[in-house]
Amino acid sequence: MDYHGSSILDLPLNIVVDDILSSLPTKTIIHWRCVCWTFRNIISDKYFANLHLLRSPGCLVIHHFDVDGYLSAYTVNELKDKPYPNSPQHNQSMKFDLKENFPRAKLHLVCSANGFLCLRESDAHAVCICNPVMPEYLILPPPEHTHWNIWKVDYAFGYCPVTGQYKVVCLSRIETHDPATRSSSYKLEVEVYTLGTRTWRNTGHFTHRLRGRSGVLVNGKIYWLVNAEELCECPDSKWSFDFETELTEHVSLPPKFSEDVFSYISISLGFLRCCLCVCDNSSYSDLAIWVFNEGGVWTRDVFICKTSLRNWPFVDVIKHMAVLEDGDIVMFCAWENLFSYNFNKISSNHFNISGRYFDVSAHVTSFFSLREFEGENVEIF
Amino acid sequence: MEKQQTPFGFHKLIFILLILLSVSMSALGRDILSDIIELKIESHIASGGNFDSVTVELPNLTGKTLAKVIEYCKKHEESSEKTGELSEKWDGEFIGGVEVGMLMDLFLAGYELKIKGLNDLAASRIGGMMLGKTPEEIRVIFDIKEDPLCKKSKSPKEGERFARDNPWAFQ
Repeated sequence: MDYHGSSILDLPLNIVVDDILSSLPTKTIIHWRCVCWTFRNIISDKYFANLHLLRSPGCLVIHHFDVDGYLSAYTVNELKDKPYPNSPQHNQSMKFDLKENFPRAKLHLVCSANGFLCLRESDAHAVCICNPVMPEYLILPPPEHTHWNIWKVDYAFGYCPVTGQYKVVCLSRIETHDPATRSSSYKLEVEVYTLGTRTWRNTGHFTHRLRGRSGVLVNGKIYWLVNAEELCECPDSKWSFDFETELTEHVSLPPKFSEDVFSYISISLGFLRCCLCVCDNSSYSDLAIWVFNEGGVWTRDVFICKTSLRNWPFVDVIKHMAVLEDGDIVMFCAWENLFSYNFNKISSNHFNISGRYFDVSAHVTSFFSLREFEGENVEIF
Repeated sequence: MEKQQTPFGFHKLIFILLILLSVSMSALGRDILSDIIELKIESHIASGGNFDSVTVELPNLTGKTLAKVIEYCKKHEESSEKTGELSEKWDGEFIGGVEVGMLMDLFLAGYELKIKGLNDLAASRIGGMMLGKTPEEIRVIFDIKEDPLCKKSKSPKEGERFARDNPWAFQ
């Protein structure tokens, strides 16, 4: 019989994983996983999951909402070749329909870390952690002392690289009014849940009013801007929660913002080149991004002159940022604008996204299984 | 290890190797050939081996594959002498013209012979063949006979889940 060469199944597994598989788009790997058991076992291996995460390009998750404002579906778009790789010949975006999987749930996306998405359900006080790629999910027990009013409860989700633990933080706003002294007090109760433990722990409280519902996760810490009301007393502060030590701390903003209270209103926190950054879009003429370096020093990293660009959203808050391999910065602005900025060509690009109501957040895809957390009841979509 | 103490063994080894290697193998070019031998010996020393008894295992390549590897190496040697840069167009035509079985052999040969360019070229071609393909299409392209539902399925339930896994979740 004629020799027709080796089969892909004859190749040594380690080189197939290192040289071919780990750099393929996630969607192709998912298809690959369904080809046969040999392939499936390779993908289920933790070695592969770790390698894939290292090489994984950034993704954008686009959240699609229904008319009531709840999450109905989300699409994951890898940012490898094109800022929004949705061209028909090379469609690598993955759509995940939540209405089909959770028909009556009123969901919001909280945060994502290492491919796990944290969703919250408005009616039932439930928090769900899922990895749509695997496709697995688990539902956390409700927090013990949480506020009955769901709108007074915020969640955060994060990963600590030092301990390797995933934690969910529940922040309940508790306001009390004393008619006798006509004074009111306010505090945020903090409860922490480590995945795999099945229990919530109360780690204390603090008294700041957070601005925005979701924080920004950077290197094991989550950051929030503190509300402008608080600003009068403490003008240059934002607040962080450390997923390793479970302690909170204040971090100063760049010196500019402590002098200029107005600009504080149109700044936002983001994640740029592995660092926390502050995006200042308050000026009509330019946009500046300040990066918080490891030594605790703020440097102005990006400066974009807006007047030379057409279609640039003026002074809206920039909600999300991601840097592509070719140096483009993708930004998402309030009022549903997703655009990218290219430094070499000094140009900006708008992306058209189908559907009317959407939001965007940063994400990476991963092949980590929730079954790693022993003690959790993992379900399959 | 005691590299200085065994110069004779080293030279003898190279001599024997050169005799043993076929004529076509030497057409790979001296640089590549000596690189292969050096690498094999280094790894032998690193694992605590003795010089006098080094056996160098050369990858199991068919004549057809070897001819292709040589074609690739020759072209790259020529073009790097002439212009200093390699022709991407030639690479594309070279790798695009081979069959799947040969592609796998070239990938393996590139890996075994430490010809990085060939290894990367074959890897990206194999990856490119999978892009945008359904599991069924991948099975046809790579001639995979193993049926996920019947063979090796640990339980009927798991097999069922396997079958609906991806297309069900991602549209």
